[in-house]
Formats: sequence, C-alpha cells, structure tokens
Amino acid sequence: MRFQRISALAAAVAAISLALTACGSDDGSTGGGGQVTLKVWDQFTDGGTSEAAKQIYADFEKANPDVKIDAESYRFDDLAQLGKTALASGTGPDVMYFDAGLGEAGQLAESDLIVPLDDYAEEYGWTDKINEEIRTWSTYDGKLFGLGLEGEFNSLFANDSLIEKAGLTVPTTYDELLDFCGAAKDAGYVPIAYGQGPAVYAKDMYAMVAQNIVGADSVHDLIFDNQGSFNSPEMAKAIDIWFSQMNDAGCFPDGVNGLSVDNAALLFHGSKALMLAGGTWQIGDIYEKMPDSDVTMMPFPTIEGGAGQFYPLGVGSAWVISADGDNQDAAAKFLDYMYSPDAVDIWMTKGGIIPPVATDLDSLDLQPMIKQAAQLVQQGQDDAGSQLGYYIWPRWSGQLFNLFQDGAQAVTAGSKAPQELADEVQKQWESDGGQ
Amino acid sequence: MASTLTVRGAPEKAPRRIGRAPLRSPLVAGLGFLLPAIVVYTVFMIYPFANNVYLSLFEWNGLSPDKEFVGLQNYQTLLADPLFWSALKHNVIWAVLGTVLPVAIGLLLAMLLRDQPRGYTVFRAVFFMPQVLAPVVVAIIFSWIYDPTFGILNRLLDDVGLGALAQPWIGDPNTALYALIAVFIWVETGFGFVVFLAALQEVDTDLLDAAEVDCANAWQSFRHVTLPSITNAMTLVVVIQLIAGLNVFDYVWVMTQGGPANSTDLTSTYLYQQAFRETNVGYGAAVATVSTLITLVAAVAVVQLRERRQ
Repeated sequence: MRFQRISALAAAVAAISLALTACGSDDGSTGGGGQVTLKVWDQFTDGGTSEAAKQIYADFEKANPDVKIDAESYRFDDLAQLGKTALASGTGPDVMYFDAGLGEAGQLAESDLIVPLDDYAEEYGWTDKINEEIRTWSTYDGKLFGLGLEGEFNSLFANDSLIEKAGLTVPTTYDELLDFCGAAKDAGYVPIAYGQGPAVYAKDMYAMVAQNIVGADSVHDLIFDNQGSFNSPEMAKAIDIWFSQMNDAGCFPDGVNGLSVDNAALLFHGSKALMLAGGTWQIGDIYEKMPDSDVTMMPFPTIEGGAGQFYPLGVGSAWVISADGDNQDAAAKFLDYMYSPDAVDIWMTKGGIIPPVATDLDSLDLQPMIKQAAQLVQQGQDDAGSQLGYYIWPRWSGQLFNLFQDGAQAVTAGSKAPQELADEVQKQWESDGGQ
Repeated sequence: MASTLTVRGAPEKAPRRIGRAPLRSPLVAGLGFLLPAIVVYTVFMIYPFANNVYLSLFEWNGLSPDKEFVGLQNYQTLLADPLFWSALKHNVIWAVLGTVLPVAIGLLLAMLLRDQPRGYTVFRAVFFMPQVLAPVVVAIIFSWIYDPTFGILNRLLDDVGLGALAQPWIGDPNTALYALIAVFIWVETGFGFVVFLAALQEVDTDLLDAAEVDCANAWQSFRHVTLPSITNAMTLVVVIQLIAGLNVFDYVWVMTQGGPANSTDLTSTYLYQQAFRETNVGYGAAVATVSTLITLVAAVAVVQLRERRQ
C-alpha cells in the first residue's frame, strides 16, 4: 500500500516535471516549421529608442520570416550585471547589446562567451560599411567581437535663450566659464547641471577636459599604444579642473556628490540650469522635454595652453553574439539588418541614435543637434580639423573604472588631491597591463 | 486494549506495541524529524558557504571555466586592503547604531502604548508600517527625500527657518553614512516595537502592583520589574537587529552604491562590487567569508552574554 502511494507520488512528480519542462521549454532555437527564435537582450528602454527598436525588429521579422525575435530590454547597469552571469551559466540570449568596455564585453571575449565577428564582417561587408573607429572599441586582441550601434560623444549643452535671459553669454574659454558660473549663480541659476551620486559621468567629463589639454592624438597614444601616462601634470590638471576647481567655483548644483545624473538633467529640462554636462545620448531627451527651448551642443571651452576643443567619441555598447547555441548565423543576419538603410533611418529619426554608417543625412528629417552629431560621427577622428577625440574608459578595467568614480567623488569632497587620484589611476593602469 | 509503543533497544519492561511493526530508536526517529531542516540548511546554507570558502581560494573572474588556485592569497590581500577595513568600520558603526537605537526607540514606543491608550490601533499600525515596505522602495523614497536639489528634507528645514542645517545628506562623506543609518532605524524600529509590545502584555501585573505598593517610581518599576521580564524578547530583537545591521545591502546600494568616495561602503556592498562589478570573484568570496564569520561570532556572542546574565 505504502509502495503504491510512493509510486503514485513519484508518477505525479514526474508528470508535473514533464509538464513544467514542456511549458518552460525556451532553448531559443527552433520553433515550428524550421523557424529560428532569436533571443535578443538590448538596452532600449526609453520611449524613442524603444519604439525604434520595436519597429526595426518587426521589420526584420517581416523581411526574414524564418526568424522570430524574442526581445527583452534592460537598463545599461542591469544588463551589465545580468548579461555576464547569464552567458556564463548558459541561460543568456543569442544576441546582446552590451557594454563594450574591456572590463565588460572584453571579458566575455576573453572567456570565450561571445564569438569573433571577423568572418561575418567579411561576409556582410561590415568592414566597409561601419566606421572603423567605432569597430576599434569592440576589437579585443586583434579580433572584432562587437558592433557598436551608437556613435556617441561627450559634450556640454547650452540653453541659449535662458542664458540670454540671465544676461550672460555662452563661455568660450575656461576662464570665461569660471566667471560664467559665478554670474549664473548670482542670477539664481544652476550654471551646469551635473550630478556625481554615483559618479557615472565622471569619466566622460575627465576625457573631455583632458583632451582639450593634451589633444586627441595624445589620448589616443595613451589608451591604445600605452604611450604617456595618466599621472602627468596635464592629466592631473584635467582632474583638478572638473572635479575641484569648477566645483569650488560653484559651477555645479549644491551637493553634487549626492545628486544623480538623471536628477541633474531635470534641472536643465526644467530651465533651472543654464548648461548640461553629458553627451549625445541626452539629445533625444532634450528635444522631448524641452521642445520650445533653444539648446545647442558645444565642446568644453578652450583651456589656456591647451590643444583646442574636442568631443571624445566612443561606443558605450555594442552588439555581441553568444558563443552558446546554434543561432549565430541568424544572429549575424540580425546584426547586419541593424545597419541597413531602413533601420538607420528609424534609429536616427525615431530613436535619436546615430549609427556609425555613411548616410545621406540631408535625405532624413533630423533634429539639428542629431544632424550635427551625425555629421561629426561620419567625419571620424582621422579627418583633418576633426573635433573628435576619444573615449578613455572603455580601455579601462572594471577596477580602474570604479577607482576613478570613487576617486572623482573624493576629489570633489576635498578628501583627495587631483594628483593623488592621477597617480592611483596610473598605478592601476600599469597593474592592468596598460591595455 | 490500548495500543502502546515499542522502541528498539529500550528496556524489556517497556510497554509493547500491539499489531504494528516496532518503531526505530529515538535517535533514528529524532533524525527523521530533523532531516527536512538538515536538508534545507545543507542546501541553502552549508553548501553555499562551503562553496564560497572554496571559491575564495582561487583567482577567478566568474566567467571563465578556468580558475587559478591561489591558496590564502585573497585573505592576505584583504588584510592589507584599506577599503575593506574602512567598509568593516562602517559596518561596526551601522551595527551599533542600527541595533541600539531601534531597540531603544522601539521599547520606548511600546512602553507608551502598553496600556492601550486612545489611538492605540492607529499608532501601532503607523509604527509598524515601515516594516512592511520593501527595502528598495524605502531606499528610493529616501533618495528623493535626501536629494540635495529637490529633496523635501532640506526644503522643510528651509521652511521652518533652519535652512542653515540643510545638507547634501547623502552627498557629503561626513553625513552620508549616518543619513543611511537613519533610514535603517526608521524601518527597523517597527520590528522591536511589535515584539516588545507583545512581551509587555506578558509582564506579571502582580509584580508591577507590588512594586507600586513598595513605592517604586516609574523608572525603578521599569528597571527592576519590566526589563527583567522581557529579556527573551530583548535578546531576540538585539540579535536580529545586529544580524540585519551587519548584513545590510539594499539601502546602501540603491541610495549611494557605497559612495561618495567610499564613505558608505559596507562589507556587503564592497564584496558585491568586487565579485560582480570588478569580476574579482575569488576576492569577493574572501570578503564574504570573513563578513559571515564576523556576523556569526557577533550573534553568538550576544546570545551567550544574555544567557550568562540570565
């Protein structure tokens, strides 16, 4: 009797297990009729980019009836955590739009969790189609592992009409900027909307100021060829200018170390701040939230004895293909579609995203700042007179990335000297092998 | 005839069970009852902890199939790591303030409501309410309250003429940790309050009456009658608060991520940063092992101390 009960229980458990297995079967491979289901994890969570991605995925499905897209969107930080563990445990997606940094996608490549794309690049002509500088950011140990979608760069934004209303003019030199900060504060405005709690844009501002001091070529040589150092007086000066001098001059909101970048942006959107610090990824938000304002994009002002004005260009995230599973060919086809003329049109007009491919910008109905940014991205760094510089952080390890964020807060709080942070950065850089 | 139990190995005079197979020894029966708990603890506590200790002996990025055995090197690194010691110091401050204040305030509130005054039900619900909120929700709400630009706290101080006290609460390394601990105290007070309120209902009223007859004042009555009567509840609340204080993660991670300038880093946030952000899994595991041992020792020490006093 007892045996019968146990047998019945075992049978029930087995039946439930089978049923659950059947329900939860999600290997992302093939559905009925030979259709492939491609599991895609991206970062297009906000209105414009989300709509653009949905439309492009739907268009791709229409053009490729044998492929079905199963997409999920995550915030940048969330995906950085989830994506790595998911791929390592074999439960990740087929395609992921992932942080392109050496400490992120670079580590996935090092651990053989994503596949090299060189063969696909040849097959689909990505080498000719996609901006070389953008591909460089996702090239690790000489192999292409990712495709950046957004050519983005750091910049300042100025609310011209509000600045005029405050009786001020847009500063063109660093000295003028310091005067501007004092005058703006006196007039009751926040001079520059910028937050450092946590200091997610610290590395961007550092790159922007550093490039104006030492020039784009020097930064390129430092991060790609390990020529130069992060603790030179010039690089320490960049830290000093943004995190110490400008804070002391009242350029940032009070309590900048406790203010998030999103809340800082609200000050600009709400016309309480005259300028905004960030980059091209904020353009869409500016047009959406300040449709009637007169906002222009500008580089950091010139610094006396410096090298000019530069917008540091780079890639925040890149498409990567999982090494696990059998859908790599379909995934490559999907990636190729992301850079097709139809998709580029939607990315730009709906999502405010600037894909790094040659496009006839005049044929598109683009907002002025998106057009300006797209022209710069298409021009690239190699063109004579280019104002484009280089991102720095994607060549940093995770340790160096965190060290800089914490250190920037400490410099602003006055508990660390700029040169001390510069020395720590150089030490970690060397410890990481000066990649 | 009434049926009786027969236990194998028991004295022969023990009553016999009629009609059914004899049960096994008390040891086996006891183990049988304990087995579910043993399985649960083994799967969810002992195995993960043992595995964590094992991982702490390797250098591993958490992704690669290859791990490099480094022995106790991660522990050596930890001993010389100023950020770990700074995080541990913050933990100690948190554990002390986050235990003493919720216990004291919870007890005070319970004493005030002990005789079920008017509004008893409302006050009880209000004091306990923070306990039912998810920590992440609480952290997000307090991020807004503390926001240096939009935060209601600074505005309130301005409105009542105390604008000079307005601070970038979680933006200043000198105030950030205490601002976070204040949130924890607000949440955790409700737990102690409810436990103490229940314990106070069990205090022998004859003893309280006798103290009154002996002309004991309120403090003497509390010190010599009430407090000794609720020692078990006190031990329970102190241990739970202590463990909660040593393990706290969510409030810090949501509100400051350990910043500014590492001023709110705790061992839990530090290990998370090491293991998952910097993919230094072996070192993160070493931090986790040491943190767990510290929590264990602290909790056991408090219980032992209470038992000795009793």
